[in-house]
Amino acid sequence: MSTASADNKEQSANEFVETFNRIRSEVARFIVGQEQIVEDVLIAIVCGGHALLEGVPGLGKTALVNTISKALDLKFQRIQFTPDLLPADIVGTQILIDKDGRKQLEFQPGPVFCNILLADEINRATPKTQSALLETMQEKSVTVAGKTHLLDPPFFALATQNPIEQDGTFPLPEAQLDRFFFKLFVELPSHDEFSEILNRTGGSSQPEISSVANGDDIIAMGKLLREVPIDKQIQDHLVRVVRATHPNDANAPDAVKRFVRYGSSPRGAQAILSAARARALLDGRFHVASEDINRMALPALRHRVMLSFEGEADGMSTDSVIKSVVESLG
Amino acid sequence: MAKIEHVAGFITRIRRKLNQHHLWNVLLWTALAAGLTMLLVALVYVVPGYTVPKIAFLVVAAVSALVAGAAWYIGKRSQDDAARYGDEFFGLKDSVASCSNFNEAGLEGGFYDLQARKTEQLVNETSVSKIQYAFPYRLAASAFLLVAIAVALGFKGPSDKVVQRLKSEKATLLQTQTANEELKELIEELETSIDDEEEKKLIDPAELRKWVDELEETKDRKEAMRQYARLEMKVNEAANALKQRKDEKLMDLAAEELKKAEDLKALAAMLEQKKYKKASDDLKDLKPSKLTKEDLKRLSEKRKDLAKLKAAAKRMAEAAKRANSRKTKNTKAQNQTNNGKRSAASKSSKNNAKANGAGKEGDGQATEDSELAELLEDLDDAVDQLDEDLEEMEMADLDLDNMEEFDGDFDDLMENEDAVRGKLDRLGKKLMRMARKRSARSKLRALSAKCSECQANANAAQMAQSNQAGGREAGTGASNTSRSERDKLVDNGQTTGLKGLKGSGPSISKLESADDGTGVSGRRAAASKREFKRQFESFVEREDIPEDLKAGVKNYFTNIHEDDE
Repeated sequence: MSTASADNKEQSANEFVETFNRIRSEVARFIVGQEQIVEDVLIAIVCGGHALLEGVPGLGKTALVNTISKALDLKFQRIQFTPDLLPADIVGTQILIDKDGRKQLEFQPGPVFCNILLADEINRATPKTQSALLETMQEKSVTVAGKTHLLDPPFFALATQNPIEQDGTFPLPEAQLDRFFFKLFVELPSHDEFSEILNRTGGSSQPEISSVANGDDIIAMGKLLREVPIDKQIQDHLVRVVRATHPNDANAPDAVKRFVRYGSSPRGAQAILSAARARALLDGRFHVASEDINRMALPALRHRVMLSFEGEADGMSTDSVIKSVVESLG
Repeated sequence: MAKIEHVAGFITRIRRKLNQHHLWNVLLWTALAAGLTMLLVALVYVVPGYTVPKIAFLVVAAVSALVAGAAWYIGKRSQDDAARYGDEFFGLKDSVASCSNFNEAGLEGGFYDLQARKTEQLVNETSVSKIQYAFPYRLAASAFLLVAIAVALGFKGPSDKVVQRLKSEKATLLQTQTANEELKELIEELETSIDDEEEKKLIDPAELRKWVDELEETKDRKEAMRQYARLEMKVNEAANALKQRKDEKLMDLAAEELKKAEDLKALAAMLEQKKYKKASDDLKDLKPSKLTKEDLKRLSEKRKDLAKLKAAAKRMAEAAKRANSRKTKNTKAQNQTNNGKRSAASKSSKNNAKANGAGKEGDGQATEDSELAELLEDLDDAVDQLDEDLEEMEMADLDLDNMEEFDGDFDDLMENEDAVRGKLDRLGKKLMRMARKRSARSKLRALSAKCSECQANANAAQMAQSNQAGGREAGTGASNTSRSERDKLVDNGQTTGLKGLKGSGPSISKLESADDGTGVSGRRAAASKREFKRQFESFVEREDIPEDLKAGVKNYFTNIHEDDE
């Protein structure tokens, strides 16, 4: 047994957990409750993924992202998506400048050139503008006038959307939804949490959030969790879960066969695996368990499973379908 | 490679425990299934009153053991199963299974070693002894109860009714074996007793042997009776085919006529006693000796010799005439009704012909009776002619030294004498044939009687001693005092009900018929007879009546007709 190597890894894993918990604690100084959401957003960040937060107005989605950006010593930008927002307003544009007495076009970077991008109410922008984010989210680069500009790592887009006000909104296309690592539902706080929110925000002063980690820490954490091993049988279980979201799969439960039009892409399985690894480390384990797969299936798959007309008509949710898949496969 | 001795030992111990638990489960469930099966098997035998064959229990037990072995082998836990069970039981979140699989795949270093070390720690903190088998007491109790009940039922003896039935079946089987043997012996005796080839042809013992060989040794009393009844019916039909009632009647008439002559009384007695073979021999004695020219010198003597034959022939011819006149009367009377009956009769005769195997001769009476009568009349004519010729020759003044001129007359005489001899030979043969038929028929009747006896014996075979008391209970004897309630009559299988098979036996009612013309004619009786015939014919013609019932009715009337004739 290579003890030195194991010890090094144990130390790295402990550092991972410590850093993660430090960020979580710092965020918790301002955000009341929402532990699960905070953890999932942070997992998405360390895994290098983007998160879509959905919830009614006033639940602290924007505040959460703001707080996280403050807790991390990273460049933060916010874009308020509106119907008249143009792609150039996001990725940047070339402007004519006078340089040394000569007029020339120079690229003026847009707000995406940051480490944490808050795309607030992303579904209010037109599909053209929404799609401007596609390359940015996937390739982490921007191409303007035939020239590609790389973003500084790490880059995370945290988008919010309101599920109630649907007038004048443009639902995100499947291709763009698939780019999000997680889709998280921000729930109404409990009674005690409500009181605590009032206590913290109703006074003359508000908690100051200081940065407890930087971009390098996040990148190192992301690298470490890729080394967490997964047993072949657990990986088979993961594949079975993702495949079972397709109605034509043999293991698909009745709910999927009846209510699902199209299941998750392999990108969903990748997201679950990464998140499950992070979850294993946070749980003090050095291997992925089936429990981690089942736990991470919901946020990673809920926006990747498309309900059929019958499913929509019956008021089914993708969450219930994914739960039935997980239950059927144990 | 990481050392995971503790993990490996942990998995092995869990596997052993799980296999033990699995063995218990398999044994108990198999015992329950075996108990249920044994109980069902026991009920299948006990409910109708039989005793359960022990071999059935042994078979169930053997099959259960095989099934249990197979189930245990199929359900045996693997190392991987044990690892997963351990993870689940101790809440180790796939640590043991993952560690085992990583080790098996030879993955080591970094996180793999770290994972192995962590799993070893976790395993050391747990104890396999915590995995306890929850013994299913209810299942075990149910299995034990079922097996106990089944075994208890297995020791229950058969009911009296079943014992009685088995005894009866055994007796019937024995009886049929004996009866079949006896019938075979009878056929052999019958075959050896027939010297005459003609008679052998009439009886056809090979066919009879075939019928007897077809008989089965059966436990079923009714089936046994049925098969003997069928054989009896076939033998009766064969015997009926040898009937020669009209010829015998004609011979009776001839005997009556012959009795009137003193010197023919012996012949008459032979015919009357149906000793046709002897009568045939007597007729040979009456045969005139071959005429020679020397006999022309003593024609008167020759005529004297011929006188006895002439008297006999005359009387027999008289009898034939009487018979013919009777027949003519009957024919006239019956012609009207026969026209309607003909079609039905032709059908029934076809059916009878089918049934006839032995007794190949068939009745053929319609042609034979007239043939015999004609023969008798022809004999009379021939004898008369011969006598006339002899008389003419005697009256003529014969020159015995010069006989050439009488050659023509002598040839005629010779011819007539040959005719008489020929007719007598034919009559003798006819009588011999009648004798053979009579003998064959009596032998078939004996066989038929034997069949009847076999039927009776088969029926009597069930009359074995019963363990159960029959009749009324003690103290409930018959009383003349009026009682509204009824005593239950316990049927112990000893009650005898005499039942015949429809159409199989002879009619028990006997019809005495007078000779035609001797009784008083009654129009009403004739009308009734016609009406009965009409009903019978219409019944036979009906399509909705089953064929066997028709055959029964037909047989009944045929048997009546037999006595009627």
